[in-house]
Amino acid sequence: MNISRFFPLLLSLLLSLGSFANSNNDTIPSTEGVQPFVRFGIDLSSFARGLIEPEVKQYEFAIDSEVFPNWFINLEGGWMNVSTITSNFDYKASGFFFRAGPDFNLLKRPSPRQQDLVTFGMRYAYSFQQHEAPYFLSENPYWGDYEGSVGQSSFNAHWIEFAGGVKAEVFQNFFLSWSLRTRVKLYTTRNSELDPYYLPGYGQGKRRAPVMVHYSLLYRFSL
Amino acid sequence: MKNTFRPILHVLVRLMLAVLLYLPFTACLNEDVCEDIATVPIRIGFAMRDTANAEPRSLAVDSLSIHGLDNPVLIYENRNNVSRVELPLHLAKDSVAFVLYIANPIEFLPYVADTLWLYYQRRPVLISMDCGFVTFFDLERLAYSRNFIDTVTIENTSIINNLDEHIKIFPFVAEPAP
Repeated sequence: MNISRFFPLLLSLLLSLGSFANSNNDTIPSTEGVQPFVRFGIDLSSFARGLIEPEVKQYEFAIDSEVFPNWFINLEGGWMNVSTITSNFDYKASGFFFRAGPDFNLLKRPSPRQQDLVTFGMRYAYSFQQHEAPYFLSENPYWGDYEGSVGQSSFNAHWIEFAGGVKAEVFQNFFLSWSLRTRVKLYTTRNSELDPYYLPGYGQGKRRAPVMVHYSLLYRFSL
Repeated sequence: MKNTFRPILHVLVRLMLAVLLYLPFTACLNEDVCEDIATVPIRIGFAMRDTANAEPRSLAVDSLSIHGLDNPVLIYENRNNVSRVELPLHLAKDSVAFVLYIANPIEFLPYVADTLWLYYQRRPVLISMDCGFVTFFDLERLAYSRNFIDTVTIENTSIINNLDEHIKIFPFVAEPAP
């Protein structure tokens, strides 16, 4: 997927939202400090993804906290299982991932009590998995079909993400969040006998810079 | 402040709905292309050197026939005006050979033939849950006889599911009379 179409859209959207919020006369810069809290979240988009590819099961959780006014530190992690058996192939994979990085709130809320956020941020991410293809059939009408297998092997991946999105407080301390993210691979295991179909926390392994949508449900604990 | 934030949320919710509506269409597209990518061929272009340009010119050959070295079934049979061919590589071996025939410019023999050997590494790839596995190839080297073939060059070693040309065949071409 060509991400060059999406970056200007996302960036212009976020910048325009930020300037829109700042242009209001009633927006007074906060003089209060940071109210300490920890917010826990569960990613709902992985459940929605299961409707499209039920063979891929991924679960993801997140923690964030405000460390400076309008600056948030995020820790995200999860695990993945892929298991599919068809008449043409068997494929199994399991692994985990984590991400860490900051978010900046473009709304610059007037008070720490104002919890709705429009954020832009970055993440560093790592994933590990083991995968195998005990059986596969590759078709060739001229020379004949080929049946083969690939034994279990490990695969590591490092990447960075750019994320922009919204967190809205829908009830007291309950938040709904969505974000658009694009990912850029930094390093992956080389000379792998079989490239993984799905990288935990990244998406389909063949994609160079996928754009993904995350939906999350979060709860905020004041400290 | 709540009133200020509401229009922003409306814009973002609409964008989110647009993305959600887009997802089922991407799933449908994946199913349609399975048949096209089941076999990944090597693409071979015919070309001739052009003294005026650094880039070679595409060349169309006539009466072209091709079959595998150990397989008499013709992949191309007496085709005219051919500038590019697609040939299936062997999935169970790391090499394959093809015999190519073109009409002989010398009248007493109907055809002239050459054999092209290709050596490669195979790479199974899970394309999608719908399409399953296909085999990609990394071309390592090649060899050929020289009856009508002058030279063969490797243009791209990675043989995957795109439309790139992988090798070029330069047949002997008679110099135009001065």
